[in-house]
Amino acid sequence: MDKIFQIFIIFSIVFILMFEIPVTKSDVIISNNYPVSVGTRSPCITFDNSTNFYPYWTTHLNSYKDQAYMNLTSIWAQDIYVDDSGIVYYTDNYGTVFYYYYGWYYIPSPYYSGFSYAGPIVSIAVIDDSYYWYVALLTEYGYVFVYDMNAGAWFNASHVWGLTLQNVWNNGHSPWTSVTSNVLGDYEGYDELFIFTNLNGEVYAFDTTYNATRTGKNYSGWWSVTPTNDKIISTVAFYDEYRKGSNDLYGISFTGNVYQLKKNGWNTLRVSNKISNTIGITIGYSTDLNQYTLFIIQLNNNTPMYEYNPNTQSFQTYGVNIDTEGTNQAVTFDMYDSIINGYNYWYVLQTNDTIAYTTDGIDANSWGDVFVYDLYQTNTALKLDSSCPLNFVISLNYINSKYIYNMYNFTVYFKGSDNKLNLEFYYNWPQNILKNPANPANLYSGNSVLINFTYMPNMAYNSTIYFEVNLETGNAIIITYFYEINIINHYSYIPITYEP
Amino acid sequence: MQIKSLALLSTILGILVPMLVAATVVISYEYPLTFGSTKPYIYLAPGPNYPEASEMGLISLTNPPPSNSNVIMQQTIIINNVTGSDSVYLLNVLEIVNTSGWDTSNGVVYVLINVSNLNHVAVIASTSPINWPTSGINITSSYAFYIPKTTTSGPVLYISLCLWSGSASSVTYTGTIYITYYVEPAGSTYTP
Repeated sequence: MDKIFQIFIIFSIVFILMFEIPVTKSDVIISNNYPVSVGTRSPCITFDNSTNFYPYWTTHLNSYKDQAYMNLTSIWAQDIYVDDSGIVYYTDNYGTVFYYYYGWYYIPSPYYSGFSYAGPIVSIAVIDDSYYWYVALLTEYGYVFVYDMNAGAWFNASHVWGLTLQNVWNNGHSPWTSVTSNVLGDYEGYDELFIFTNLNGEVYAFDTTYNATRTGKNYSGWWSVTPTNDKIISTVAFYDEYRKGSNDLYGISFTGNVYQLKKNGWNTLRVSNKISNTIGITIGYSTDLNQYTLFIIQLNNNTPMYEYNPNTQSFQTYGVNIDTEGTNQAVTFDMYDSIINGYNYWYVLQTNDTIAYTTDGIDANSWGDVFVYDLYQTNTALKLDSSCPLNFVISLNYINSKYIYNMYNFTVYFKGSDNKLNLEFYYNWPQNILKNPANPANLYSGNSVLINFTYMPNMAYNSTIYFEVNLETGNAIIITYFYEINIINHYSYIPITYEP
Repeated sequence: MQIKSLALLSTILGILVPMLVAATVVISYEYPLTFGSTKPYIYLAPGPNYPEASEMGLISLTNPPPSNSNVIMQQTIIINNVTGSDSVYLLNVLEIVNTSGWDTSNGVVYVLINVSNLNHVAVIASTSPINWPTSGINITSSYAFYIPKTTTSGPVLYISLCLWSGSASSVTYTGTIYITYYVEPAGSTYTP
């Protein structure tokens, strides 16, 4: 019987636990569960890179075209030159030429003057003698545009003069890097020539004086087809370099090798202390050597010029550090003022349109600088197309960036479907301003939004900026796309391998 | 004999007490909530931005509510990411609706939302409409919302869904949102 009672007790306790305790709170509880099926659908708003302008910008899209990776080659001050009359010229890599002739003037790029695009501009040289006043631009692809200053017009010198430099690019893809001339050659009684050199050291000269039928001798032609071991990125010729192999054409590589063109081709100049990261070479007058010699500059900031001492076969510091605002890009010397007037002036062009120049007319112990602002504006660099049933507003959201200070300024605009231009992002290096107003632009159903830039580099190093493109319909649906812009501030043949 | 008395007492208690409890349950059902063919007092419904999201093909229901009702009951919510995009926010596409309002003297209401197996999908809820950049509570597993006293009918909780890039897979998968309504009589001490 006790066992029966024990069972009763256990049964009772279980019964109490089951019913009494849970109902001490008499809540009403209603539960629903909702299965959520998560899938995907193709985007109805897609990036459109059909407006890409190689090599200035290319955009890679993912397969859904809702992520964009843009390589944007900026426009920087590329090369500088002083002509037979002491006039200073420089060009940007799109071919806009600035020159100082009792004030600053500019010549619109041949690409703004009706000529088809034939590659980015790598170098400038000017012949301003008793016959011609020619401003020559060399493109990376080996095309030559010449601006006749007297006629006030560009002509396609590759076509008019029958140059074939472009065939080298087409066949071997060696970029052309430098054009120079023997400044004051005419004054000294020689022909004046444009001398073109590519990265592999192939050299072609064009004798403008022969064209003027002065001497009856034509020094035009291929002067060298012998590749160098290293890569020539800048050249300089002395005024007597009017005939093939007169030993006064010099080239320099980024690695600091200096070459001299002789009858047998390029020869490496004997140098005991090679200086690296060299970007420019010129010939000027040394007050401590009392002779004309080679001067080279480095890309790096806070560096001086170096002169070649033939006695020690080494480069030695000449003067004090160059005023540096951007990144050193090219150097030139005013041979006219030196030979005619006895004053020595060097000019160093920097990527952000700063020209550093020696100020005392003697040596390089005092530098000043002048800044010529050259803002570049793209046409449409990228589009966003909508096939959505709804209208959206679109804005650009800055996430972060790497090395953005290598840009002098950078601006992004969205041109909406209503043609209204909206400022989305703004960076200004000198004022240290980074703003992201992200003004909403209208993206109508079945229409597009155009993306435009203005930009100018500060330094030669690259910058990367990460954005999100935000698309929204009246605080209801927000879709965000990834957009990365990698800004390239130097030619690929300048092997910059580090970031500042 | 003492054991027998104890057993007898236990048996009586074991039978009588549940009867009392059963009586409590009856009282509980008399609380003014109705079910069945009529619309419940509090329920999940398409939110104010559901039509736009639906037009974009980003949300749908397996059995859309009939025209005379907007109650979402026991059906699958289908949401779509945009392939490749960073993220897609569907703001206020669902809502919890109270039809008649109640008075706190009659009790309080909590809405408990549980999220299960929704990888790369954020469920965000708020008692006021959610704006972008997102306001509201990001429910990572569960969260109980106290619904304040209201005497008018209308939405009392807004729900947004955010799909992150990781969910942009060609493979469709299924998770679950559990919504539980706790309605307590006045004087109850329950806290979810």
